[in-house]
Amino acid sequence: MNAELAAIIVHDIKNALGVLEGQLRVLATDSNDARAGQAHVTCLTLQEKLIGFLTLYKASSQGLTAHIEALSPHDFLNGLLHHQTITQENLKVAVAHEEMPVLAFFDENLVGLALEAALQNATRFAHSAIELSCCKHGDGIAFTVRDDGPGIGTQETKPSTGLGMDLCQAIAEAHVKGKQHGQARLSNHPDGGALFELILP
Amino acid sequence: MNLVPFSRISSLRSLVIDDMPTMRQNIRMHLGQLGVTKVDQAGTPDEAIRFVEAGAYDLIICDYNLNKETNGQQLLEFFRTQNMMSPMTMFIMVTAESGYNLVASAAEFQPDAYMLKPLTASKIAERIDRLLEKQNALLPINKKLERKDLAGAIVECDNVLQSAPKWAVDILKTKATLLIELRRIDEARTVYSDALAMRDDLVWAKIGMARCDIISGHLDEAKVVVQEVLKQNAQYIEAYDLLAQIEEAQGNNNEALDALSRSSEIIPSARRSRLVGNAAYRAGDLEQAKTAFDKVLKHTKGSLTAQPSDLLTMAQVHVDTGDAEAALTLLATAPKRYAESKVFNSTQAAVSAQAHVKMGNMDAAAQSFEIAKNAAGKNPSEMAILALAKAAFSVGKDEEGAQLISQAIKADHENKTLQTLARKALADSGKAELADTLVDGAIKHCTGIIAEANALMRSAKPDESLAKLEEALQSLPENTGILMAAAQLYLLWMSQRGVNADYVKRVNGYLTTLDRLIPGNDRVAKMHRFLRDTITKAAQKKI
Repeated sequence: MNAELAAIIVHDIKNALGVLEGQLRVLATDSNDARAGQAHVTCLTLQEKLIGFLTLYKASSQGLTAHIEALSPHDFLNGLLHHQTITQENLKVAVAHEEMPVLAFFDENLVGLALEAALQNATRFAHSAIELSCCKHGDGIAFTVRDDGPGIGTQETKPSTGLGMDLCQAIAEAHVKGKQHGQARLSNHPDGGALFELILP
Repeated sequence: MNLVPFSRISSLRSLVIDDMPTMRQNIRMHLGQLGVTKVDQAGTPDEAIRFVEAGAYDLIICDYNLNKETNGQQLLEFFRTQNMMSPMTMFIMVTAESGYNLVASAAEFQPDAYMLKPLTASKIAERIDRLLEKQNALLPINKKLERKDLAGAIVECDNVLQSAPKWAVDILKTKATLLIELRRIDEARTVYSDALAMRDDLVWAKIGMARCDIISGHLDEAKVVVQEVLKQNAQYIEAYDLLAQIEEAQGNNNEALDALSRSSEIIPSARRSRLVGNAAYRAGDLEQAKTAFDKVLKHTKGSLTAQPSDLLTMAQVHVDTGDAEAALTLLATAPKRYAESKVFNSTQAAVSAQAHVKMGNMDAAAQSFEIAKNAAGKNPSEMAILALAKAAFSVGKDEEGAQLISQAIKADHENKTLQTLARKALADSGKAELADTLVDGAIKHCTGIIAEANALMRSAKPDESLAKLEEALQSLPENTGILMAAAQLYLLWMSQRGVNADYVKRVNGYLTTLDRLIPGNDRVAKMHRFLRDTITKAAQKKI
């Protein structure tokens, strides 16, 4: 099967999933059964994965261009957190507001996809807390996702970070300003845990 | 102004536009979860147009992919260019990730937000909340704008910039545009350079600088900026329009046409093709005009987005290229609803008359000409009157044709495009030698009236002066030059002798007409302000 056909099929499935998501949401709201809520979250995660795949496919086939707008990182991160569904109990996800610029220039849809992927990844390793932030970085900005897990290098990381990091890298590179372009990197924080950074010009 | 209370999503009157019923249902369900109960659904662009015509919406959620002819972006363009949507309506464009970049980067008309599929209730809520917060923050500016108080709106821009800095980019954009409208060019430049200091690759600010250059008469400098922008961002449609404007002002009609053609390759919309077609027609390039209008007609065929003027211009192009039969065949395909328009009926008959002459049917031509004349009425539109003049010349009624050309120019003697088209109509009719006498003569006639009125005012005969203009407006109700002179002289009269309720009503009437004829004109904006100030001062004196 060629890649184009695959993309069309995935696209179709994604639309159907969208319908399923709506139905499950209603079910989850109306029903007292916790399993309905879980099914809804599973569906949301699956949707995110598919969009990630499609975006990556697009990046490799036609390239991505960011639609840069002036946005409040504060609003953006709060919004991201708001519709993020964290299933793990005892996991605290918060936005760190120190040093956050009032305005930043980025593509909110693309950066949203990247940070959701990073956040999904962090939830798999974090012990009890994840922190999201945005600060100035040179002339541009850096979004970070930090967890308090064992850090990178643990044998578990391999299977799914691959696609996630590729997606983040593609999204970072789509942010171009003059001769500079963005960069995504994953490292160990000096105080422990893994640190994901999305640096945008 | 109808502002939805902040965070009162449930009271939003909304419309969902998507060709797929399941997706429409889905979005409707999401909105239902947010408590939104008023949700209309449209499956086609035409259905959407009918809904928007019939009701006011606070929120429109539109899928980018609608049908083969019209996509969401073109529908938005139609709503905006036809002034069908309130500026307070939030328009959200939904795209798939595969089309998102393409759609967003080459959009001439920006929606309030782009959202990627799939939508979820919480994502929609978050975005609407943010849009409502922005509307709320910018409300003081928009309130002033609604009263046409541009200077007041600029002051509010500075206030809101302090109180809500996160909307800085929107505010700076608005502020600079207003400063340009008021011809406060140096201040506008400062705003643009402030924006560029925030981020040096903001295309709108660079284009704004070019606009300042154009107004200050530095066309060459403006051209350099615009070309630089296009080198780095070939998708930026506004830059092509500006380039075309500069080239036309420098007398380079072909280069202007070329700039517009390039823009229509990037956005192959009906509107873009129409711009190319009109420019080509003015430049006398009938082949290109034909190709462009052919695209427009194909694009809008059978849809409510179709415009009568496209069909008429194409028919005229056919006549001009000698293909009279094609013109008549085309006119016969006009949708029934066009017959409700006086302009359409008279222009259609006028073009038919010309076609019949070319085919040797003089009786049919004479008959069509009479129909055209009757349908045109007392103050025919620019398009109708020029077609009528051409028809008159073609049926041998030269005197009537000449009189119509003169009448057309007098109706709006400061309109340069009209002058070009009138000269072209004469040349096409083999009467090029009459152009100077008729066109310049008509212009002189109008400037004469204004000069006389001014002279009367100066020699302390204000009533005679005003009567002179009133008389002229009886026969030339839409002449922008005379309307401006009249508004100005009434204002002058009142500033010297005090407010007169009847005169206030008249000035308001003139300014409203001017707003319709030449929207965004800075002289008109100034007069609006002056009128308001005069009334306020008079009221204060009374107290």
